[in-house]
Amino acid sequence: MATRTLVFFILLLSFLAPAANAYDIQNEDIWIFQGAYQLEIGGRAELEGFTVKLHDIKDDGSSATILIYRNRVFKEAFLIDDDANNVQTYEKELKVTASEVNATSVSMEIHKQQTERVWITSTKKTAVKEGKQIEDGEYIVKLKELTEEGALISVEGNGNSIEDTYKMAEYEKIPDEFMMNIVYINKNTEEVFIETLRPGEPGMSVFVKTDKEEYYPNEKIEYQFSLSNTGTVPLHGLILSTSTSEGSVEDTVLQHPSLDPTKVKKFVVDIVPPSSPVAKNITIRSEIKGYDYKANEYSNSSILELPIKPYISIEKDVEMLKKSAIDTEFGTDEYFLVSLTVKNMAGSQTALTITDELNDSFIPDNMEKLEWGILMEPASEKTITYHVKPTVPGNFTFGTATAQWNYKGDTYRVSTGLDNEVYQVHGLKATVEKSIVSNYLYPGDRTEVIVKVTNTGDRQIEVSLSDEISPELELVSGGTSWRGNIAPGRSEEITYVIQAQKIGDFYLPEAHIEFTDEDDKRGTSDSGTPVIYVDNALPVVEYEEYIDAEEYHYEDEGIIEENDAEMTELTRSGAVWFLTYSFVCILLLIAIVPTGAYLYINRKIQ
Amino acid sequence: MVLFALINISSRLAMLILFFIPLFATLILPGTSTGFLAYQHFLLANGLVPVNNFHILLMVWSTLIGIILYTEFLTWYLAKGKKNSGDVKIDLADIHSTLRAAIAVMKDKIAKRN
Repeated sequence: MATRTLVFFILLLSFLAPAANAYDIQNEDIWIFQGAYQLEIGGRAELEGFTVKLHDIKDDGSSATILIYRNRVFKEAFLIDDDANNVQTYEKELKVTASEVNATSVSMEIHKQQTERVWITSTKKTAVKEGKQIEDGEYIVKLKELTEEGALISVEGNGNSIEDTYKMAEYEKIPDEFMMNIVYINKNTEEVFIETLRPGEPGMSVFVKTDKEEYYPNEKIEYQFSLSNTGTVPLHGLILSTSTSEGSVEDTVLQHPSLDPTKVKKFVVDIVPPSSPVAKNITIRSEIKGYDYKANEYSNSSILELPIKPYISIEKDVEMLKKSAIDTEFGTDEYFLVSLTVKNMAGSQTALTITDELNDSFIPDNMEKLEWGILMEPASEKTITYHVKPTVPGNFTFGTATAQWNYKGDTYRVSTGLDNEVYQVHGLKATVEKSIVSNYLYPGDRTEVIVKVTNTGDRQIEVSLSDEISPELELVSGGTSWRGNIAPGRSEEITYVIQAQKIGDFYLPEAHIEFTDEDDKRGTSDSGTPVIYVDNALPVVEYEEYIDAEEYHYEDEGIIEENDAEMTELTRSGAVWFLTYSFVCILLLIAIVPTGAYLYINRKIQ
Repeated sequence: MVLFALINISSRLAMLILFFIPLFATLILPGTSTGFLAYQHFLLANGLVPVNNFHILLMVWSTLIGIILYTEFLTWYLAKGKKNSGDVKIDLADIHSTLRAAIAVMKDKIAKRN
């Protein structure tokens, strides 16, 4: 058991050792560039674990005093200038290099001594035999010979040519360019496992968003700028600069010491939107700068368009309420309470004219027109409420309310959003329509009159219809009055036949209905007055004048109708004859010219 | 169909097809055909002149009758011109002898191949 445990740990260590070794060679203990800063007196550069503060500058601007804080605890003060003492180092950990010192500010670059992953695997561990090579870009690694001392390997490329004998876990480094590492030498198979590494690079990917899609002028914009390091080595000295086309940015510059690969840093910037009488878009621009360990600069930027609403806003709220039992006005059961909430988000007083629209079937309570003039204090809110009575039952929607004001000589207006909510008003309602089947008659002709009663309310009603006939017309059949029940949404048609007596235009009198519901609520309605034309029957009169009156009267009406039908209707043979006739006519017409030409040419030849 | 008959078969057949299609339609389905021909498309001259399918049928007839008649006339005229010129004379005996000689050559070749 003990032997097995020992073997297990030896194996475990043997597996872990190359991994640890591989990890070590990827890192370098170097001065890592942390960022370039321009500090004014009192200004700070915040780094990971350190803070550099510019304490003061000599009056002549020749030198300055900087203070070093570690974890916000003061550690040391340095005198720095841009000449001989331009580099100051704290505890071999922090290096401040002044590039310019003037009377108001000091420009400096800050480096920090730390171990950082710099080398990134380029070619994975590959088995190479004698005489074989691996290629990594412009570099060629060739295994020349495998001896007892190790592997004789040549590294060539980019103007470099190195040949040496390497043992296991040894490596060859060409600074800032290329590294070759012997991972393992297998003497049994005479194979050398080689990997190549290259210096890594950071990458920047940005994403911006705001907590809302649009803002009122009194709302602070929470602008989020997310930076993700898509590269293979960390980014240092990140500086985010934000600006906006209108409004103001609270933190125009934000700093962050470093960002490891695959990590995301989220910057939150507060922006105050502009106050405008009209809706407008503002543009937020951001630029992020950062550096890799060699002080190479990387940057990225973003642009975001954001809509800002005008500083006056109006909202409309409609509430449907039940009428009291004694209120039977218009036969409807409900009424509406409309609230208009107006906000002034400007920094000054504003005089507003508020108007609202109503459906034609609605009547405002105790008001002649829906218009109000109000004076709004800065950053204030007012609510206007009024009642609306529907005059008929049915389904209704409400229109938009508008606030209008003047600003610097121009007129501006905002409206409420379109409310598509449908409100159903219950109540007692019925309509009556009167129509005529044929409204053009000759004396003696008959036609049908249709009176249609429709229950457009939402409850059963008992209807009583009364209609009249003009004295110029005569009732032939049917009745002009009716009484009965009609269910909601249903109709009843009452028809009767009238006969024209005299020539002229006659308006039929309006039909009248009275209806009551189960609660004994009453209502009335009237129809329109359709017109009927009774014309002089001229052809008949002329016919009568020409023939003997007695002969005419012998003819039965049925025979006359038959004769008429024969005269007007196109029969099969008639249609065929007509088509044949048309075809022959066209043929003859068209054939005139070629026939003439044929005869002429033939005669000429003969 | 009418133009196909005109080009490939004969102008007389094309004329008969042109005439008999609407005629048979009227004989077989008089109600439908009359209704179709009476269908009004639009009114011209401020509503005074109605344009029905019947008018369109007349127009189609006119066009196609014109095409058929003039094709027949022009064909007659051109053929007449050729006959009168008399420049081209084809001797059938010559053609037969040439064909016989060619067949003999082909037979000889086939016999040699075998």
